[in-house]
Amino acid sequence: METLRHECRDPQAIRDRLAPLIAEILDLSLRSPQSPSREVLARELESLIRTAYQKDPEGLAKTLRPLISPAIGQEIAENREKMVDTLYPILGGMITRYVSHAIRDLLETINRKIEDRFSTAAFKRKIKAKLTGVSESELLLEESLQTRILSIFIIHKESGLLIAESNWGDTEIEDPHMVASMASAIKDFINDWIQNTQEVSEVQLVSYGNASLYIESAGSVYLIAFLNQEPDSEEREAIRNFFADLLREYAEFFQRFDGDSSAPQIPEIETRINRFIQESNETVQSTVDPNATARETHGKHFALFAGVAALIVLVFWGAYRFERAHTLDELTRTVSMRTHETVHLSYHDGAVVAEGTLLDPRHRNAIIQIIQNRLHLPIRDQMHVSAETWSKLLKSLKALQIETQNGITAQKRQLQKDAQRSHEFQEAWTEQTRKLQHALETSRHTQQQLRQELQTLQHRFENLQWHIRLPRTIRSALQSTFGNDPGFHPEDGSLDIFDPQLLQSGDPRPNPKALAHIKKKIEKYITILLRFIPDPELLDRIEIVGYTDSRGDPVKNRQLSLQRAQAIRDALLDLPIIRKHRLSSKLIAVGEGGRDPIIIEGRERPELSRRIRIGFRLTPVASDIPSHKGK
Amino acid sequence: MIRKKILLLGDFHVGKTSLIRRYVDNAFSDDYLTTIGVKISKKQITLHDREYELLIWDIEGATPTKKIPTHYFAGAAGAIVVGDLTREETLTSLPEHLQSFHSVNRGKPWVFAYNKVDLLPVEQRKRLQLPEWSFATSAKEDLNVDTLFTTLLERIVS
Repeated sequence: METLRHECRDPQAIRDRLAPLIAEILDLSLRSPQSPSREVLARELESLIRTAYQKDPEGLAKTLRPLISPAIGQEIAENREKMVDTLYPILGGMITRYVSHAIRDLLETINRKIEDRFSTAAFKRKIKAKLTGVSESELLLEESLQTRILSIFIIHKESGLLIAESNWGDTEIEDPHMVASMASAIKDFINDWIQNTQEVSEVQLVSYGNASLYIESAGSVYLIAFLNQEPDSEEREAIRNFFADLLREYAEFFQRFDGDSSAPQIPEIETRINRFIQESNETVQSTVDPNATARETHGKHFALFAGVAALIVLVFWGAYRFERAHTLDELTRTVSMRTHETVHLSYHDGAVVAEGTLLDPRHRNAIIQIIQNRLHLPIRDQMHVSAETWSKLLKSLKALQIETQNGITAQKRQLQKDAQRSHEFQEAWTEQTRKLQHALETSRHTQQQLRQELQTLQHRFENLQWHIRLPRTIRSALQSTFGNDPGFHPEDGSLDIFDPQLLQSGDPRPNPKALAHIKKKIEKYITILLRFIPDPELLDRIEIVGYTDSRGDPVKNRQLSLQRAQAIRDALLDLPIIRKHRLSSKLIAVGEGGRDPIIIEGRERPELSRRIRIGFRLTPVASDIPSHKGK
Repeated sequence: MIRKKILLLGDFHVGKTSLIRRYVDNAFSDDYLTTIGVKISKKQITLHDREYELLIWDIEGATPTKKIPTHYFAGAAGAIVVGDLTREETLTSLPEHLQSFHSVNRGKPWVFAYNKVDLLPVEQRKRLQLPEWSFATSAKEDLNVDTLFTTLLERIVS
């Protein structure tokens, strides 16, 4: 009681006590169809739900979902027909579209198989239809509904090395590592091509006849699934999810893969791939005739072969398309680089169509030439020039015309100036040439004079040398004749003529007989002398020197000797050589007295001291000496 | 088993495909070379008691109208660069090929193959002086072909 009293004072305790009772009363009230509470609650509830939906629609849906879903499920179970009638207007359209799409896909697959009537599979199908009694159409339908994964490869993206692989049943790909590398190369090739064409980012599905390769690429690896036909969106989704799971778990291993096939992760990955293949194919297998499995196993190799063949065909086709597209791209770039024009090129009916608006009409021929040089195809010229460009060109032309005229005028003026300068220069040139010619003539004259003077000088020099050498030459000649004569003096070429009969003591007259004798000797001496003296002017004198003995008065002796010399000179004047060469004036008589007595063995020999000496003197050499030649 | 991707590079018609034919265990058809610019062959080697498998990418040589498809270079562990001893221009382009390889695979090892040595006169063969990591090879006489690949593998694993 005390407790009850205490709880009556506590509002929370009162709420706790009353709540179960109110819930029960409310429940009973709401269960009765005639209950006014039910109407009130329905009205309030509608208002509350609308308000809640406006404030937080997602929160409301989340709250109601656990209640509504079982309710709908129960409603469908209890009143199926009614529910279908209710939902059909909403779902009917969607279902119709889905079914139509599925049937269209199915029909396309069947049509492809019917068109492939000459294949091995088609023949097998015909035989099986005959043997089993099942129509070929049913068999076709059956085949068309099955998709099988034959193999899955996980390949390292950068190196193309196979990391892991697994096959369905007894399907085996010969040398999978080489196949993986080659597939990687082909994939790279196709990707390179499609990236060039900029149509799609990466190849994902390669399909031909009964074989398809489905490629999923992510991170550092990609997956290739070999299938017997194109996978539908669900099958693709399944493969993609499986690949994503693998990536999540083994991303680091894939990234660090270095070609080592002994890594412990590889068997794990292969087990998972194998399980995925089995699970995927078992779903299909359960709905199919068991005999089909054996048949398909035989067809796997063919499918794989067909897949690779399809790949090759695709590659050839791709290469052809790439080459064509690449050529046009290259040509477009070349045109742009050389002409700065943007032209669109395309193939149409075996011709190259060139379209675009030209910035400069003069580039048209250059562009056509560039295309013709590369492609030997007809060219459809659909290039045009905008009115604006024409207008600009006309303006440029006018400006160019004005500029050209101005240029011509300026050029004319310049030419006139140049002509005037040229005339002046020509005159100056003529004057200068004339001066130079005059100077040249003067120079030639001077040169001639100098040459003559030089010749004269040379001549004089030769004469001088001859003159200098002349006394020695004459002395040599005289020595060769009189060298053995005791009276010959080699130092000056004079000759003492000793004859005891010629001169008597104190007598100035020479003995006539002896005179005749010495005249011959003197004549011989003069003859030798003149042999070397072509011009008498060169000869200063021929001296006839008289001597006495040393006895007696020296003055008288000198006079006596002079008389004797004069007497002999006079006797020589009638010599033919003297007359012929007119040498009389050159004959000079000199008296030396007894100055040079002849002493032999310490005693004078007076008969030898009384003697005549003949000698010569040449004219001293002067600068203007006459030449010894030409006379 | 450790697998390595290696490249075979060089100008057109220097004898890359002949070296491959002489050496490998298994190969795809030559048609792939002319179609997509690469042909893949395989060779197993035992080196220092370990098994290796070389996947050799024979890359098509450049021609006046075709460039070398360098998108195949990625992920290669090494390269053999081949020149023809009878054509000087193919030897002068060896450094260019190596540079191209290193632009994608920085610092990766390589060897040079001076191929068709069998076509040189005997005297010239005796006088032949080659730079480091180079081999005078002949597919016809099976000269240095094994050494070429083994040396490259040794450089890769060292």
